[in-house]
Amino acid sequence: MDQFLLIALNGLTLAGVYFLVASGLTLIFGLMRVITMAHGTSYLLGGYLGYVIARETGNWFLGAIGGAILVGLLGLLIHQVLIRRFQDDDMRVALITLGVSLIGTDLMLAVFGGTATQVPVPGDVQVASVSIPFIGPYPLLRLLVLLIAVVVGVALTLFITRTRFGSVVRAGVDDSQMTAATGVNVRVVFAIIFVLGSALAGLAGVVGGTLFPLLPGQDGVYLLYSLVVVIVGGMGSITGAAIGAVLVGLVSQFSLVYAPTYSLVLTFALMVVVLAVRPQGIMGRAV
Amino acid sequence: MMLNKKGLAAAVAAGASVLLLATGCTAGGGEGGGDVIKIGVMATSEGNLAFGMGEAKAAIEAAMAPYGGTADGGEVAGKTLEIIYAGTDGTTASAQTQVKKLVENDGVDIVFGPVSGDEGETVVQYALTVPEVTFVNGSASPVGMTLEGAENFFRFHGDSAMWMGGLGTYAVEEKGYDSVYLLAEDYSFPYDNAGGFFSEFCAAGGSISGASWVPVGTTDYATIISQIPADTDAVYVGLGGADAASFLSQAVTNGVAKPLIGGSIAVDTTALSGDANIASAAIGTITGGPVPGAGYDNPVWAEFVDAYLAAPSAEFPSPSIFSILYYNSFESLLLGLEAVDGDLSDGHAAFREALGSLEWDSPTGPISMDENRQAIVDNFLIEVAEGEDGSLVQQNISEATGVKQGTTVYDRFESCDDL
Repeated sequence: MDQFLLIALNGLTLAGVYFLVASGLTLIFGLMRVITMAHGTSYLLGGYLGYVIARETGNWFLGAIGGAILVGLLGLLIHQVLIRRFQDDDMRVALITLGVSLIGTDLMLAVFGGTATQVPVPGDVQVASVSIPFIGPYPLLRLLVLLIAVVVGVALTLFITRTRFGSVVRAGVDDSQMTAATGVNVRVVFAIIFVLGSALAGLAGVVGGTLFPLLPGQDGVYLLYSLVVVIVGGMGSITGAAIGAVLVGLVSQFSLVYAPTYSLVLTFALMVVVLAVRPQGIMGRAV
Repeated sequence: MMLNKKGLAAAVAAGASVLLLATGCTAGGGEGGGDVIKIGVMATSEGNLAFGMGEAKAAIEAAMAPYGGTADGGEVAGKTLEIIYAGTDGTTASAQTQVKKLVENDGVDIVFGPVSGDEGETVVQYALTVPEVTFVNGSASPVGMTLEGAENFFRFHGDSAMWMGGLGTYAVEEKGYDSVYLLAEDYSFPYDNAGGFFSEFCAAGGSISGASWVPVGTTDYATIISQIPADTDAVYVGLGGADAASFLSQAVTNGVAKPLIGGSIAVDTTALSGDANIASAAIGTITGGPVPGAGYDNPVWAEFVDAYLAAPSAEFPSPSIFSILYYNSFESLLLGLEAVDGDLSDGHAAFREALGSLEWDSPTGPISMDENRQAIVDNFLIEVAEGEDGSLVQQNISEATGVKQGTTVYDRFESCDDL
């Protein structure tokens, strides 16, 4: 039983990282329907930027905020210069962002090298543990990651469902022409969403890069996992992304113990099952 | 001009026969009468081992320097060596293409290489089909390669099980570890590498307290770490690259108090040189491999390091595992040629006889050959320590001398009884 709870908690904390990456993707890909292949690159870049800032300033939070803002600004640049004109042409956008990711990955390899790098946290935070009933001592760092994910998730949900801007976004996604006709500048709204999505990937990079090493290749891994999370959870739904992340996190941790050989297969089998039963994803709206 | 169907067929046939003639004329050298010996070198020039080609050239330059030669060849044993290079990306498919190109198009007498294990398995299979060509392995280390019965294939360094040679006994006798938990990636290299360690460890009286074979690319080890039983003395970490780096940092975060035993690529320079807080987990880790750690006292080694650093193609501040294994293998090849005065007649018979009975003092200790044309070598036991500047260094503990190849090709195993 203790064992079961421990694995479940490991799955939940891992899901925290997956959710942070996927929440950005669910905004860009799910809401705006822009197929971005550069999301993993944003993750890795955010992690590296956060690493540099945190190392220079000695402050993890500055690293997290800096990583998010810088990647968000880069996202704005990419959106304005490369994507905006072709926003309705899926294939072009996919190819453009794929190109951006390939170039970005190689540039990062040149600058940061191919060895493992980790966003520094104070030594006592890294080794601190909290005693949890039925489980025993558990690393504080992983609980903090989960906390950050929950805070971001709640804030995003409130932002999209409870604010005026959120309703403009939803209206713009449903019918951009009609929304534009009511005097809303849909292009600005979409640019803001793209920036927000990229910034979330950057933040996820700093958080994930604190728990796991940053290395060339991680960009592809996180792009893939966040796609799975978004597809399982339902495109464009923040709650869906949270559910998807929890499912993927739990499946990967339990399978690692009970069927390690098949753990990757099972993660993707989850996606296959969800798509077979509910093609729009768990919280997705039927089209 | 338009060709009709008949004309086209004739043209194709003519073209094909010209092609056949061309390859037939040059294939497999083998004559041995000429004064030029062609050596085809395979090394990785693309992919994640792209630096393999530079290291192979540096090793060949270091070996050719005493003869006044270069990476492209020189005069050895009264013959002119002509060295041709074929770059691969480390995969089976590209190794197959390139080894065929070397033998069938370039008509080399000797193939030297390849770098990666997957490539090695392919090249051995190919060697079986072209008995007139002699193959000298570069750095590929799967156990099975020299057990395939290819009479024309020679390996002058240890296989990946031998890279753990001496460590199992050391863990029991010096470190006093009785039970060890096995954590390794689920593919052939860790099977052999861990198999080498545990077969010796179990024979010395140790036991396996549990096993986790994880997929390559696993980043989150929290759950695996929780599986390690409390009464285990140490944890064997058969991971490499990103996975090893992930594990080491999480071993710190999750408070793994057990000492670690590293597979041959778990605590190498790439894992130790990253900027991550892994010191408390990594320090004290023991491991084994074909590359000596700091403090190895051998004049031949010191000479080799100087020769490597003087080589125009050398890119690293010290020789990598690839340059060391390529150097030992190429030097062995040259010594074999010298022993027979470059005589490759009679299907390389005398040359192969010389290679198969070669004995010399290499930079990494004495090399001799067993009946499977596999080297008997020294292996190095290493411990990770903190250097003066706070960086992590691999310290040489001792050498296991005369490590011989076993006859087991390992698979996944869970306990000592499976070995």
